[in-house]
Amino acid sequence: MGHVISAFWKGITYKGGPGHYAFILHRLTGIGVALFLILHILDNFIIMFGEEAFAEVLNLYANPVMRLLEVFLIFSVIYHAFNGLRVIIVDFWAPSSHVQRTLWILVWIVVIPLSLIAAWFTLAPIFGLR
Amino acid sequence: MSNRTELSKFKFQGGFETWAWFFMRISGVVLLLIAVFHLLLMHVYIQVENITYDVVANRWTGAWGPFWRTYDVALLIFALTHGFNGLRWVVDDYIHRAGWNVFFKALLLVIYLTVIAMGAYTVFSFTG
Ligand code: HEM
Ligand code: HEM
Repeated sequence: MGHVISAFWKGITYKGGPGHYAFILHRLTGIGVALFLILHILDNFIIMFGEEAFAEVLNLYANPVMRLLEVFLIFSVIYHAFNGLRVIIVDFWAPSSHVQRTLWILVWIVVIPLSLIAAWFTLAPIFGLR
Repeated sequence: MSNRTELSKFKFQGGFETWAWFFMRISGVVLLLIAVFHLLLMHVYIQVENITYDVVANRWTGAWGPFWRTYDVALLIFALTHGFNGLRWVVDDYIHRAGWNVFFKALLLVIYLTVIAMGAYTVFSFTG
């Protein structure tokens, strides 16, 4: 197990510039969303046990702590999606480093507002807003 | 990542890993549309505090039922296949000892098949 941890640590502390941080974040968000997806299919499966059982599951998600984790999930999906699109564009088109910089900035210009909008709709009800 | 990225500069040679690399790009574009739309639909349009048994039952058994069931199954298959192939890459990157490498990948395959079966069962056999 030790070499796994040290490989991971080297990955995180390696000084590769923004491209490397983009990759680390892409990897962490991808793993996070995949783990959520397993949970999500299990929670949906409970609908087969009827209305009351499903209501209990939904109640678990209504907990403020869960709503906060949900905002984290929203950000993860949106970052992974638009950074993934950037990776695809760079792979197939291989633009100049100048264009690559612009693409990286564009990712955040899309990801931040979209995440904030979805976060507002998710969190506002628990503060009695909206 | 750099190794995979540089693949794009080579001639297309086929083989499982090249197809897997290609599939990640294709499914990525598909998921950009259907997974992001699913997320925004649930949070911004329906809004999570309004989700109930009836809401889901109406979506699956109403006039648009066949559409949403197809949509959900497409999401299920694309997201899980993309996600678990990604996890397989992560295992290959960090777990080098042959026995553990095979063990974790076999575990991923078992979870993948189980979860896809449960998801498909839910979407197709729900009657309300
Ligand atoms: C929403 C649109 C999505 C796009 C555009 C996208 C795009 C991509 C791309 C291009 C890669 C390959 C990266 C590389 O070669 O280094 C990738 C990897 C990955 N994706 Fe996605 N993806 C999306 C959604 C998802 C979802 C929903 C999940 C989880 C179920 C997921 C999980 C992963 C994982 C675990 C990896 C492997 C990460 C790595 O190798 O570092 N992705 N994604
Ligand atoms: C916390 C955020 C999310 C909420 C509140 C949510 C809500 C729901 C609901 C209510 C359903 C029931 C079916 C329907 O009404 O169409 C559903 C199904 C589904 N969702 Fe989500 N979803 C979320 C995030 C995601 C993400 C990020 C993904 C993809 C990675 C995803 C993939 C799926 C799939 C595959 C199904 C079909 C499930 C099955 O086969 O049983 N969901 N979701």
